[in-house]
Parts: sequence; C-alpha cells; structure tokens
Amino acid sequence: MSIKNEEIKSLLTFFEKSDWQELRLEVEGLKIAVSKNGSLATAAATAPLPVTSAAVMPAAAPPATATPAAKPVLLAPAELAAGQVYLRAPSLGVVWGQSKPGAPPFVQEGQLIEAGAPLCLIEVMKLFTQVNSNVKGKVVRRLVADGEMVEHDAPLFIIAVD
Amino acid sequence: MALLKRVLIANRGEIAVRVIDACKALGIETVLAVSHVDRETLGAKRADRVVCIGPAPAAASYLNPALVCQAALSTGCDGLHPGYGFLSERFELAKLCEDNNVKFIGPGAEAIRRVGDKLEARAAAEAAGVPIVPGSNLVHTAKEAASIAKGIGYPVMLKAAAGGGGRGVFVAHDASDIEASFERASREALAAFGDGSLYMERFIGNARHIEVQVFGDNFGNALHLGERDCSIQRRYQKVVEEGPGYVLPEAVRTRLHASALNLVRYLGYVNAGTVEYLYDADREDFFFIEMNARVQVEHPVTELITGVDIVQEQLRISSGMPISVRQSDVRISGHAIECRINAEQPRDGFMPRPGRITRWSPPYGPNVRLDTHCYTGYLVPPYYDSMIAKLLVHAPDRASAVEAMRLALDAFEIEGIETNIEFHRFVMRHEDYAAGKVNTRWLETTLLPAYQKNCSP
Repeated sequence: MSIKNEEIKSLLTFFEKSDWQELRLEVEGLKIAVSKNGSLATAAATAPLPVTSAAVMPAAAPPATATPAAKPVLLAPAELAAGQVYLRAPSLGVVWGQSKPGAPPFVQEGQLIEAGAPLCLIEVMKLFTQVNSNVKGKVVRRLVADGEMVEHDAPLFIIAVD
Repeated sequence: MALLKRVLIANRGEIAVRVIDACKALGIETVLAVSHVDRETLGAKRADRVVCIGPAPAAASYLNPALVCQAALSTGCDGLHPGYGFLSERFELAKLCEDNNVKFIGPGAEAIRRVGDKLEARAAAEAAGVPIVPGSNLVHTAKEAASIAKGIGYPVMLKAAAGGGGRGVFVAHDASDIEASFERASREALAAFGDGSLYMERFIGNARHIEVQVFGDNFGNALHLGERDCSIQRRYQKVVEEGPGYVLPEAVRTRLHASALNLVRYLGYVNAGTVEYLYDADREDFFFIEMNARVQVEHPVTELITGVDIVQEQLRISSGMPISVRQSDVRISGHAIECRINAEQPRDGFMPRPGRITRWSPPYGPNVRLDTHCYTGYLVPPYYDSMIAKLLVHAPDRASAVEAMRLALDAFEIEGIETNIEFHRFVMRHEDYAAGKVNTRWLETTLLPAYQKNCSP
C-alpha cells in the first residue's frame, strides 16, 4: 500500500492550515519533510517527490523535499466515541468548508449545531451541493481539508449527537 | 508519441476487467470508478486504484457524467474509458472530458452527437453512399401509399411516425392489400399515439443483423476488421454473436466493407466503431441501420478471428498514435461464436436472477475464451445488467465452432444463481442454428416456442 497523490495533497493542505512549522513523514518507499520557513533542521536531499502527476499539487503548497531521515507523523484514523456519529459524503466530490472563498466557514470544531445546519459543500465539476447535518449536536472534528477529494460515503465530520 | 499515463475506467462488470487488462498490457495505470456495491469486484481487485463515486443506483453513480469526470481529474488521470452502455455514447461526458483535458477514449463529442442522432446518421450514410432501407417521408392518403409502394417494392411496412419498439407497424404484401392496410394503420396510429401520420419502408422478411468493425485514427487512416452476424436476438437484444458473416457471398462482403469504410472516411471518424446493417438474405442486399460509437459487447468475436486487440488499439488511437494494423495485414481466420451468459431464468420470461454465486466452474480449453468479472462467492447485485460472462469459442470453421460451443456450455457449471446456460445449449443444438438458417426473428418465432414445449413436462 503506497501513499496516494491525494493523500499527499491533503496532508500538505492540512499542514498549510495548521500552526505547525515543520512536518516530516516517512512511509513505505516515501519520505517527505516540509517546512514553512524554508529551513529544515536537516540538510535534505533534493530528489523530487515521487508523485506521478504534478497537476494535483496545490499551487500554494509549501516546498516539499525528500529527506533520508525523518520521524513518521501518523494521522490516526478518526475513532468514534460513545454518542458520536459520522456525517458522510453523499457522493464523490471535492470538499469546501465555506460558501465561497474568503467567507467564514460554515462550522468550527466545538460548535453546537441544529439538525439541518449546513456543514460544507461538495463540488462535482463546478457544481456545488450543500451538505447539511442530519442530527442536532456538537461538531467534534472536521475530517477532510478544503480542496480534498472524498469518495462516496467517506466520513466528513464527527458529530456528538445531542 | 507517448501513451496515456493513467486511465479512469467509468464502467463495471466484465468490460471494466477487459479495459484494465488492456491498459496493464500497455503499461498504463488504471483507476476504476465504482458504485458503493461494486467495491469488491474483480475489476476493483485488479485496478491500481479504486474510487467510490456514489451509491448503487446507476443514476447516482455510473450514469452521472460530472461524477466520473471529477473522479478522473481528482485522481490525475489523462484518459477516460467509458466501456459500453452507461455513458459510453453520451455527448455530455465526451464534451466534459474534452473541456477538461481528459482524453475520452472513443470518438469525439461531436462524432458521438452526429452518429447518435438517427436522422443525421441516416443522412450521413446516404451522403457517403451507404445504402439505406428504401422508404418514404410522411404518407397522407391510401392512393399515395399505393403509388409509393410500387416504387419501394412489396412487401412494404406502414409505420406510425409517432410509434416505436415495433408498435403501430403493418405489413402490406401486395397491391390488393395496400389501401386496407393504410386505413387500418392510420386508424390504429391515431388511437395509440394520438397521431395518425404514417411513413413507409420496404419490409425485409428474411433479415439478418450484420455489422462491420471499423476504426479511424487522427492520421486519416480507416480500417475494418471484417463483419459479425448478430441475428440471434430477443427483443432487439443480441443473445448470440458470431463471425465472420457466413451467409455473405464474397462480392457482397467486399461491397459491405467498402461501404463501412466510406462512412468512416465521410465522418472523419476517429477510434473504434461499428456500422450496423440489415442484410436481406433473399435479395442479397444490405442497408444501413446505425453506427455505434463505442466498443461493442461482442468485440471479442472479431479479436478471435483477426488477432487484433481492439481495446489496446483504442488506447493507442486516443494516445494520438496511428492504427497499428494495416488493412492488407488483416486476415480472417476460422470462425468464432459468443454466447452472452446472463443471470436470468428463460423459463420465467427471462426474469433477472441476481444473487450469490456459490460455485463458479467455467470451461477451459485452447479454443475457449471467457470474459467475466465473476467468481465463486461473488454477489450479482440487482442494480445493473444481468450479464455475468461472455463465453467464446474459436475453431477452423463454423461447424466445429458450434460443436466447440456445445462442449464449452456443457462444461460450464454455476451454482447459487440461475442462468441462461441451459437455454444456450438448446440454441446450439437446434437444427436451424446448426444449419445457419436463422434471421432476426428466428429466436422469438421458432426457437422460443420449441424451447417452451421442451421445458413443459
């Protein structure tokens, strides 16, 4: 099982939005180290990232460099606690957390929501479908970053049902 | 010129497996778009990557052009193969792909639109010198009908302009019949469709369905790979296909191939296609029916008798390469037959019978080919077409091919679901089929009554 372009892309988007300064990842056959200030702690080999299609790399992504030494950073699969449910994608598409670029996000983690509250948009070839919560409760976690593709039925949010 | 790098397969079942294998043979990466219930299929196991695009119903997954195009873009594919059925001849998908720099593996959107529009396709055929069934425009009076019928030649069909699917059709056998037939057809058309308008066509009593496999490429080359006979049909659905078209006199065959190539050249058609004809076996005349702008279910028949891999050829052409076969190198070798194996019960009106396959024991042999996505333990879902396999045999001549198919069908054992294998065994052992004395109505008018009689205690 090798890492997919979309997973790298999602990781980079996630990193970009986080307040982390540096990220290192090592999985089977692939090492990635990225930094926001351009100064990685270890001098890195500059071999290009083994990504087969450059088109999937977001333009705003920070520079990525392969490095021989890095501690793995693992994104643990989201587990549900008692009283929590997944809100899932109605179809394959690209996820967006706000109604348009620059607008505030529909919801923040920790926010209380009513049933029917809009949570995100799913884009399919420039057509946007609003995904609403089917339960009342609290947004525990958003699982998919902006611009990432999800498959049909993929978990988008964890909601603690009220 | 390089091949495509990564192809999204927007289909399911055996054709998904077929396209994945062709890509692999050429070193092209594969992404399979699946519905929620198809995540564990054979195609899903063989593809480099699988993306679930939507729920089981085809309208929410396999039939949504935006979803499959988005899946191709999001997974970095530079090509999309639509297979057959589903979106394979939908203008919207080909156009979406073109607009987003994903190579649609088939003819262009404009070609799909042109050959998909029946009237435009007929006009193109006429302009390219391809014979069309002698017929008329709207006929207004019985007198007019009689005069037109003289020109067309009896017997003639009177068809409701608003009709379809065989309804509102009357046959007049000679001049004494025409006026009464016209009045009856007109009355009935008015009652059934609210529109009494009629048009006329020559009635071909002993018709066979013959089709020519063609290719065009971006360099102006046109190629044909001979013809198939698909006369064994039920409700306009092909049941058995074979090749070559064994009833064609050599002179007719040559004219048939030339006419198909004329149409390819006239349209500037690129990629694989099939030109379908009605063949009047009594008059030795052929007429254009339509052109299919996709790879056909029965394409392996042609692959067996020519040795050309049609799907690989499609991938090369869409990569911008010329057709790899020269017409002078095409040799038709022996005879091939294909039986469509469906999960259905012929004794119960051919009702689909989805379910879990508990034993899958297919025939093997040097002259047997089986295109399938099924295996022991596979659940045939109730949402899609009931075809579970295409069984093919290849032999030096038709008689030995028929015998080889009988043996292959006898050796094919499937448990857990009902299939039409036993029905195919009956077809292969019918004397008319063995003698090649069939036409497009034979299955329904001769074979089915005999089969039902044979089934009842």
